[in-house]
Amino acid sequence: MRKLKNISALLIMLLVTGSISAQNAKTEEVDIKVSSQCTMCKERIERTLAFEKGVIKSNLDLETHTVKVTYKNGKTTPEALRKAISDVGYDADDVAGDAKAYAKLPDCCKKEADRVDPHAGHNH
Amino acid sequence: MKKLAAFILIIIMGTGFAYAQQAIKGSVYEIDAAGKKVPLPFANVYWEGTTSGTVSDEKGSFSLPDNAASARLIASFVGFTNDTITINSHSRQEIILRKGSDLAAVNITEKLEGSFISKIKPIKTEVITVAGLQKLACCNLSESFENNATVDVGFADAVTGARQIQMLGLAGVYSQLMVENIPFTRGLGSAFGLTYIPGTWMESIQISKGTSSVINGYESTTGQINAEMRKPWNTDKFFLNAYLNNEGRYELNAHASARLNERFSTLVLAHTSQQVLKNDMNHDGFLDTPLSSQINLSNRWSYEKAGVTESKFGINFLQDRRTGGQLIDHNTSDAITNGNYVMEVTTRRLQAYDKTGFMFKNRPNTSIGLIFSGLYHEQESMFGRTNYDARQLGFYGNAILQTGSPVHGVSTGFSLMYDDYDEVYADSSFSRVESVPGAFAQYTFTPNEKMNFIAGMRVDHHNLHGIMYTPRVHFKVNLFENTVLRSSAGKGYRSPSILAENTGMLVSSRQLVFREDFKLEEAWNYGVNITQEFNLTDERKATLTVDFYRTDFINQVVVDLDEAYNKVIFYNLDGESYSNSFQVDLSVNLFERFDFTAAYRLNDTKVTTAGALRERPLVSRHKGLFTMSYATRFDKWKFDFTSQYNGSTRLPEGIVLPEPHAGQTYSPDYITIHSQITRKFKKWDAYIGAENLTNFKQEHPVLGYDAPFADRFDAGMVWGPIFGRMFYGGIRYSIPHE
Repeated sequence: MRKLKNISALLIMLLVTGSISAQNAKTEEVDIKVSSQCTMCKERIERTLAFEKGVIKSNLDLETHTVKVTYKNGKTTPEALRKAISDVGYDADDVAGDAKAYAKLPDCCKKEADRVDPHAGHNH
Repeated sequence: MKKLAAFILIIIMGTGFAYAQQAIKGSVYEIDAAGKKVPLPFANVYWEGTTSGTVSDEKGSFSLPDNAASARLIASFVGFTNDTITINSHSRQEIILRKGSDLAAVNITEKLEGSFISKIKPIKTEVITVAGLQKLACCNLSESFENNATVDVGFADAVTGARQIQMLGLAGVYSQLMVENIPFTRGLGSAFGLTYIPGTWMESIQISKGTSSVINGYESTTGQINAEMRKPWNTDKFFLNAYLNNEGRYELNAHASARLNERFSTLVLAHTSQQVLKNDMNHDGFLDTPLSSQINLSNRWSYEKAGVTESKFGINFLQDRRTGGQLIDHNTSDAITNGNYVMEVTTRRLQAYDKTGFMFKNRPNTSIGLIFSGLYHEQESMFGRTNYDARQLGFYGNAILQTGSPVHGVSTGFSLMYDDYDEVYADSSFSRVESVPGAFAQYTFTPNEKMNFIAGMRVDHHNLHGIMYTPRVHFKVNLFENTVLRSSAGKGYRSPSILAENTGMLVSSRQLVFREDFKLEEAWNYGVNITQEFNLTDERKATLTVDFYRTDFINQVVVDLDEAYNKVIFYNLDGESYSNSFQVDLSVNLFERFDFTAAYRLNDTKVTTAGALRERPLVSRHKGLFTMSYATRFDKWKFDFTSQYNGSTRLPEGIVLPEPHAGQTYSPDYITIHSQITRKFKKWDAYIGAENLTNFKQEHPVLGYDAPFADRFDAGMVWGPIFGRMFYGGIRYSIPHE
């Protein structure tokens, strides 16, 4: 019985260390040009990146359509980050946004030509 | 987003019926040229198919009384696409209107905090949401109130692991526990009922103090706790939760839901909880927590024909076994042979229910609701050398007609409660049939959105106890924009199930003495409360609530532990019995994603036992609560901290506490601390936490543990935690619907 108790304590410890253990890899920054349109896009892209492996932080500048990502080298690569952005429907540098995901984006996040109301999100 | 909106359907049978004429509040926004969300003033907001509507103010805000006929709210503005949203809760609604005619762009966000106090409901209601339930990755309903000041949870005794709640300083049986507005733990279920509702099955818990609407019955003297379960139409396609703690308890929860077509959806919930290790941290030879095994299954269905019929039906099955007592060095059969004290309880429950609502297209304010529930509950148990076997066959039905106008609402209907009890304790039989048909009417006056008045009356006939008249009134007024005053007064009745409600007393050598035939328990309850919101900045908010409730018993079945240390005597109240409860709660959103709450509660509860008015035993006079929660952006990390101060409680006369408390007539006070860290990943969450970090334990909760068949043996005198510090961890994994 005591053994079982120790095993369960050990399992819990593993869970703790597993989720806390930090890697000492170097951090790097990358700028990725994305097809963002509005604040909703900013939220979506930053949220997606937040849950990508190795990403420390990201900030999307809506004026320049550029997302600056700080990540741990060795944990992820700029290619993987571009892929993650593409998977939720946005172009990332030369990687085109996934068509299926793009189709599901709200109207204001779509490119002008594809909008039902071409003026939404812009001056009119 | 469109799908989300389409599948969020109304709970008309639930809160809709229970609290007629609440209001929906929210804001309308548009997306401006810069892609920013800005308020949209003067947008029309109205209930679909009705003329009940309003216009958003200059800040885009609106407030609209509930409408029985429609659950769909339409927002419109010239040049914008109409947006229809389905209301399924009273959370603040956020509607974003878009130019043009693209329905795909419908976007609704509900801002849900871990717990909040509804500003809309005429009866003050605290709501604990999923976010709140996950703050303590708790296992079942009995463990869901640790960060709540209103409900106190304690062990019924030190052997069975049963937990009991208190509201307003009175036992949980005086409040009504419901699951989706169907009475849940009536009769035999009251002993272990709180452990029959797994934490992950719940979507939210609504707690209201004082008498509630007459629609739900004549019970609920001190308050009502209603658990809303996960809905077939808006839960994840698949969900899994695995939990483990260092005392040897593990739990698994799995949910799977499917939308069969536009009208039917279904959800299967499965739960198992196992206590596999024997613990005896206080070295008294008794297990601190019984070995236990619970299997709990539920299949829930939903049918909706928009604007015409809605139906929710389902079936639940539960089996719960627990074995405790002097089992540290023995297995059960050896222990019995050796003459050790053994507790065994096996419970099986089968419940089926149906709730159907009918709406009428040409009568927008009229609806009919029907609720049926059938229950079979059987329990075989052994406490030391005494057997207690019980069976309950129960039926509950309620038919509600809601009509009138948004200003003058009327709900009428009738109900039937039927319970066939077959109970045998030692050699005595407590079998009986209770049949209670009743009728009710409730009038709701809502002259404007600031005021709300409800007057209700019900008359029930109890086959054993005669007629009960239950009048109740509720009043709510928004004194100022951010100040809500509510008050209530009313009567509550209850027919006691002595043995099931006093399981803690069965784990003792106390002789059960039934001095006379019991009358119905009958009490008045009065309460008043104020909720004040402060806007610290545009985005930071603080809420202060102050409330006071008084309960006056006309009759109570007194559980007298004072007359003799080796007896528990039950009799009808002869003298006074009352409870005064005062509480103040402050919750503050101090900075982004950081909240704290501080609460204080004072109970003054007295009852006449052994010929004198005394403080009710084992009820703490003072309680303090402090919680903090912080989340990083996108809730990637969440940190929760809960601390409780529990004041001392009076011990029954003649109780002799072991060292170091010998000679004391009051239990010591103590502080507990719980803490949890949650990390969210793309598809799953991991959590670790600790309960009772201060490691405070009641010294020898089993009195007379060295001689369990002698007359000083008493495991029912529990006033504090039985286990010390406990660590746990777990994961949650979910696959959402496409």
